[in-house]
Amino acid sequence: MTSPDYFHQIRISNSSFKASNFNLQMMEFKSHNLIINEYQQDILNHLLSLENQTTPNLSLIQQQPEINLKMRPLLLDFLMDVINKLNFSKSTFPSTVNLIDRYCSTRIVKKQHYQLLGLTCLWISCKNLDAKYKIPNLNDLSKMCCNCYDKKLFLEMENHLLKSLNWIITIPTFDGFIDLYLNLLQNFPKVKISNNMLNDLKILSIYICELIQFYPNIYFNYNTSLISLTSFLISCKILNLSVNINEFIYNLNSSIEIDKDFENFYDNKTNDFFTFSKISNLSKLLIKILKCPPPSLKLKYFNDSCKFINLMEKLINFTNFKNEPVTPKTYKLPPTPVSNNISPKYKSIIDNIDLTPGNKEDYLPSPNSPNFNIHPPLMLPNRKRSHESNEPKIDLKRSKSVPLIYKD
Amino acid sequence: MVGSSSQFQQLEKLGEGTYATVYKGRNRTTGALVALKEINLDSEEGTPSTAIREISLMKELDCENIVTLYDVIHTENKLTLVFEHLDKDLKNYMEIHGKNGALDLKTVKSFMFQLLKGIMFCHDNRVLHRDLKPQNLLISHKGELKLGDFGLARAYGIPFNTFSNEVVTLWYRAPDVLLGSRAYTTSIDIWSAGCIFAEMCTGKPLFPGAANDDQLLKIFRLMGTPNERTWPGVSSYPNFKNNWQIFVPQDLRLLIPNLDNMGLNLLNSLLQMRPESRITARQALQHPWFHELSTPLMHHLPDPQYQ
Repeated sequence: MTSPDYFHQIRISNSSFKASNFNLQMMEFKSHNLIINEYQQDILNHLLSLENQTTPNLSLIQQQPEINLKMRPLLLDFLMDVINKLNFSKSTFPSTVNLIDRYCSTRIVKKQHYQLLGLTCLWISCKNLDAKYKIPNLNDLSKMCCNCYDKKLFLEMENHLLKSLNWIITIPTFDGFIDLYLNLLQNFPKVKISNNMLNDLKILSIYICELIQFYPNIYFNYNTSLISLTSFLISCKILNLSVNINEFIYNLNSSIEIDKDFENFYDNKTNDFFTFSKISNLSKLLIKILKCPPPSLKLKYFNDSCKFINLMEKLINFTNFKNEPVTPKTYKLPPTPVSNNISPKYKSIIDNIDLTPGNKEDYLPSPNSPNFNIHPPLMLPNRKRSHESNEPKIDLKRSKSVPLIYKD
Repeated sequence: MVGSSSQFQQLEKLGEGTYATVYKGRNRTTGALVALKEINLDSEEGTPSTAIREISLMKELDCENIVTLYDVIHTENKLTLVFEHLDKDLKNYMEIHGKNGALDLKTVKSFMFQLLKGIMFCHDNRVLHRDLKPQNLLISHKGELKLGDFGLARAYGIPFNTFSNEVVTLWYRAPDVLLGSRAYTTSIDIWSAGCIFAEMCTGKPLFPGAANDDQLLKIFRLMGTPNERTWPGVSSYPNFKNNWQIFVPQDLRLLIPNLDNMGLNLLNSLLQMRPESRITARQALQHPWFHELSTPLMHHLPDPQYQ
């Protein structure tokens, strides 16, 4: 006997094929856009108030006895790889990072449980944000960490994490803010930007935001909304868009309604939510790390065969241009006589490390003495005449992802 | 408050859904009534995504016209959500208080106003309910209406995400979703509100379809079969067919003779076939049909944004 749902799967695949029709998508997009224009101001205010409640606490994280901020980029890099391979939504990574940091602001985490925490946060974010068929099951999770955690541990961790974070899981993410800013920009008078350009703008901004999450000294010192805004504005610069930045910030500030709870977030003098000084401080920090992606992002964005490479080249050129006056050549310290037994592999990494003052050994963040370049910067073969050789030489060879287990 | 299941005495079963069972409960210490939504946990799946979404979104939505989630009790094999208890849902209410199910216009107006306020609050906070129907609207003995059951709710993005089109109980599902749209937006909740509006006036579901195609035909019979002229682009929807029976739009007045012109105008704006022409919740709340709502009632329903 045939079940009534015999052709169910066929119908579903047919209908999703037809739903990818371009005209249909444009129609759906237009109808959504009309509605968004009505709701965007309320959504922005809601996200800002939510952001206030879901910020991790750096000083509490630094009290962790076993884990430290050096391990964080390694864990995030591993999770980013998983996310890229399984093609999760753009919000999944920031949401995972937020859950990890917030959990580390509430409970002590043992070294050997850090990866378990990371994968569980990824699992929860996925369930919240991604389509059902993409959500990994317990076996998948176990395999991702080479079976070093029992399936039961994930369930326990999940249960515990949801309780500790009081089930506040849907947090405002970078891409959510970027989409709002993009929409604001489109409704900006005098600005005409093609759809392709908007798409580039979005990809660049999202890359910068993803990158910042690997740099705790920046990430923990600024709000998600401000980081997104600064990344967005820098991306406008990189793409050479003629956007009046002052006017944009002014418009944005004027659509934020004051809520008494957030008084400390407003600038005392100007009474603005997003102040120009904060944005420019952040962008100075940003420019220094723009071309220092961790391996996972390098693979995703700077791969010669990937579609983002042309865009990323603009970014690298922009950074090179911007960085020159900031780090004059006279700043380069003379090489330290390194002991001879260091392996050549390490030497090349050390060569690439930026030796500007403030580069400390550990990554303990401080707004005053930021240390950059946790990841070595990418170099274009020829800095000044980069148009001629438009293929940046980037080493894509990377060691196979090894499970992160911190053994004593 | 951090509760344990023993804190509540389980009373009669109130309803059963696909992934949860709802019981009436009593707080042993205070004697207060609550609704307990019990979700069995699968040992492979962990906490179901529906529960994660429902709980985290309900924690955000603090509004008079949305049911309050008091607490979550999480044990190894069971998840219990403790909700505020309301006497009945709109379906029961219509059966008990309506004339053959139909409510008087004053009540309809008050309920519609509160329903739209709840919807507006969700949409302002970038949440789509996606399962509005009389069974999910709860009515207190004071005549307050609250949105419940956020099991299918989702946060929506500024550029839309694509969603499953298997949402909303068939009878309240919007024509664009029935036609296969997967990038629907706030307008899907508005269509459901229109269906509920008509149902409150007549006591009968407006479009009681049996399956997807039947549902579409029931809608076309009343609203007219769409074509490229009445709805440019309709033929690009996945489930569009050329051989549908052609119906002309009917006058809603014939169906709901007791509703005044202004009310019919609102109903008509809610039940627009094209999603982009459907009114939004905020616009609907400003509709002249609600102007006569006396100040005490308006006072009784403060704006959720500024409470």
